[in-house]
Amino acid sequence: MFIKLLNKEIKYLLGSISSYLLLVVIIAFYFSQFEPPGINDSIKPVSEMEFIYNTMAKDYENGSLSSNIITGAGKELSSEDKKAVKKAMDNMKGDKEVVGLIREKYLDILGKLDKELGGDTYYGDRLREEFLRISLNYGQKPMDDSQDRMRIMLKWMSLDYRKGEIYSYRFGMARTIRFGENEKQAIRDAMNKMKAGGTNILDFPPKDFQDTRFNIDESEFADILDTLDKKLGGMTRYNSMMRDGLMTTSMTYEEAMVRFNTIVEKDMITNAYARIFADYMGITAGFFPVFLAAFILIKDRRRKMHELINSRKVSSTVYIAAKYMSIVIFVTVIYLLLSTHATLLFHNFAKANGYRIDYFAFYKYCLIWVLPTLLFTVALGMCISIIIKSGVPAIPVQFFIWFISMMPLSGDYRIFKPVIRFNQVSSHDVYLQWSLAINTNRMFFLFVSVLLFMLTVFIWSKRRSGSSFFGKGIFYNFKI
Amino acid sequence: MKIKIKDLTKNYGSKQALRNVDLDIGEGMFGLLGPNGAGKTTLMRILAAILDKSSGMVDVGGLDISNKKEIRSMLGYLPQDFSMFPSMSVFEAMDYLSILSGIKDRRERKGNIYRLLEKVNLENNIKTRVRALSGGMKRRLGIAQALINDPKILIVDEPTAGLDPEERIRFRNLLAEFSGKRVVILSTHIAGDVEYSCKNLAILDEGWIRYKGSVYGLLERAKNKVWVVHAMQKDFSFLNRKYPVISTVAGDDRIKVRLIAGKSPASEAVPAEPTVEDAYMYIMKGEE
Repeated sequence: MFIKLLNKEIKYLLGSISSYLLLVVIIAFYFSQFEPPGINDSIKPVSEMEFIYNTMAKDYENGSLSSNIITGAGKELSSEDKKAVKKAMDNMKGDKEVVGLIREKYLDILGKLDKELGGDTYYGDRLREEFLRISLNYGQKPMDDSQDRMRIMLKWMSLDYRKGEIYSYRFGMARTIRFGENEKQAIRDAMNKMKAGGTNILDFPPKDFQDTRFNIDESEFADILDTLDKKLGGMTRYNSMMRDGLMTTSMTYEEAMVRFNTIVEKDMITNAYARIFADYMGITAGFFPVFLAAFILIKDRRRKMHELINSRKVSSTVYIAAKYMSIVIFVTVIYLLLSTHATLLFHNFAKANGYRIDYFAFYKYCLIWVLPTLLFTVALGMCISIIIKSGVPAIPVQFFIWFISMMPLSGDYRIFKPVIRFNQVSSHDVYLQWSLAINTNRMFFLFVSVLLFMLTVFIWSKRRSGSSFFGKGIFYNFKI
Repeated sequence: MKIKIKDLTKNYGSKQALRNVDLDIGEGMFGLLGPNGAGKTTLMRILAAILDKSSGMVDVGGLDISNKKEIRSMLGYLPQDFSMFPSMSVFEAMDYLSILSGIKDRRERKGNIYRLLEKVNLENNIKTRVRALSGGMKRRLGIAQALINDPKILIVDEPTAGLDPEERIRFRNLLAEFSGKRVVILSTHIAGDVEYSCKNLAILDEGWIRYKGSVYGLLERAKNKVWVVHAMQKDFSFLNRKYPVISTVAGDDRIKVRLIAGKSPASEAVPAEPTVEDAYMYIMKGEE
């Protein structure tokens, strides 16, 4: 009976506008957020020399230097200038690969080119470093050195003190906290505790804390930040959930290459991208299916069909399971189709660039990461609606739970967060450090979903026999 | 197949909807008469296993009412106020309810649906959306869905409410045709529905059983209690105050008044042959 009923429920779901709206939302989210590399894109990090060589090639082809925030509008290249660029390119490459160039020779070539182009170009010593810092981004990594981490937080304290205000992030809204004497004193206290002997905040920025040394350990550091956050009103940049994002530093080319190699070898590329795919799909699974789940049982009563259904032979478990699984299957099929689309894109990319990929990666993450979120959202939506006898309240409840799962973008997998955020294409090793927490979280939500489902069946079964269990529902008269 | 009800009580908080109801219902059509709020729907719902009793005993064909799954598998229920998913076609709605009734075989379901829709004259509306059906058609679809599992017990709650007289008669005949060896319980507040289709009935009032027995016995009870008086306008107000008036027909200078009275209410009054409606009124008011 279950399969036949499930078929009917899916068919009925396919006839509803809400289902198509959900379909559109998920597809729109996928195409707007997930960016797989194109066939001609390279996911391999580009070295400084390769980047400079590519820039020369582009400048030569365009007949002008690139516009950028360092040098402003691009300078037109005369035929003499173009010859100089071409010569520099030939000198850089020769018969060998660019990356094999000796650094002294490389700097010499660039120095000469800058001179020949009239000076003050991004090839010259004066502007090159800044140009590379802005143009070559290998991504961020957590700071390893605790002294660096303390230094950066001390800088933020000093900046906030001078500004006289800070943002507090609650429920996704930034609220400005303007400092009174208490808040200012709290920052001074924190700075003093961090640097024994006291810190003259007016030393910053001239000294920039570069030489500052700290005599506190990690635990004292965390305590100081927690106390400061509390005194400033909570959920500021000093909060344990927010501060990790500040204590990062840029990766070097070598580090980026290590990451690239593990993505290619251990993740077979698609596993790394499947995690960010699951991140985006998880966002949709954590909220939008509630619009189907919250009304699927309420509809029976609203359509005055509940007595016809209640008097049937069908068991309560089979009836609720068919409704529940119809939504789960409908939404999962959308995710699996999008997984197929992503796999095909990566198949083409891998074929064009000679990589090997894991063809099951997107499906795997879809089922292990996204499905528990979906199961939970649907179970909670149905359960709340059956308790309250109205679909509407389930929506803000789900929204609240979804919202607190949104931040940070990765690294927080505590068991009250149903959405797994992993908003980065990172190496397998980075994933491994969180994998236990993620797996525990997924098991927990699977378990909670089963409990919510059983509770829904129990309440529905009681109501089916006319029990006044949970009364008439507090929102019974508020129907849409 | 028999339904035995003993000392059945149902409370909604402090309100008693059914009070110590005793009934034996056998095969054929059984009428349940009573005013709105008498407890008819409560009794129907308990028998349909969608409402728990507070106390007492209900035995359905040898099974206690607590065996809900078994009882649900042998009954068909047409609630008073029902509908179906409006976007479904007549066939889809019937097929959905057939599956819920546990009919697994697709061909069997299809055969049943076509046969029943033909019986209720909806064979030309198989693809019509439920939302496009008229009130009478919905009621007929309602009876068809109640019969989808070939039930031994058919419970229909106020099936003729809101139907025009022609539809009402058609519906009554339809039920009578289906009754056969089934137990058919027809709950209504329209006495005419019972008079023309039921052999036995019970009258419920404020949760109490006021009468149970045959329709014939009910009519006998009201014999010599129903009178017709051709009264002058000035006398009508007196009669209306003193006796329960069942109906009036205005003439040129007199009003034909049909009323209930233990003895002749006026010198020109003549005794009338009671109908079920008269007897019902007599039980509800006159007997006091």
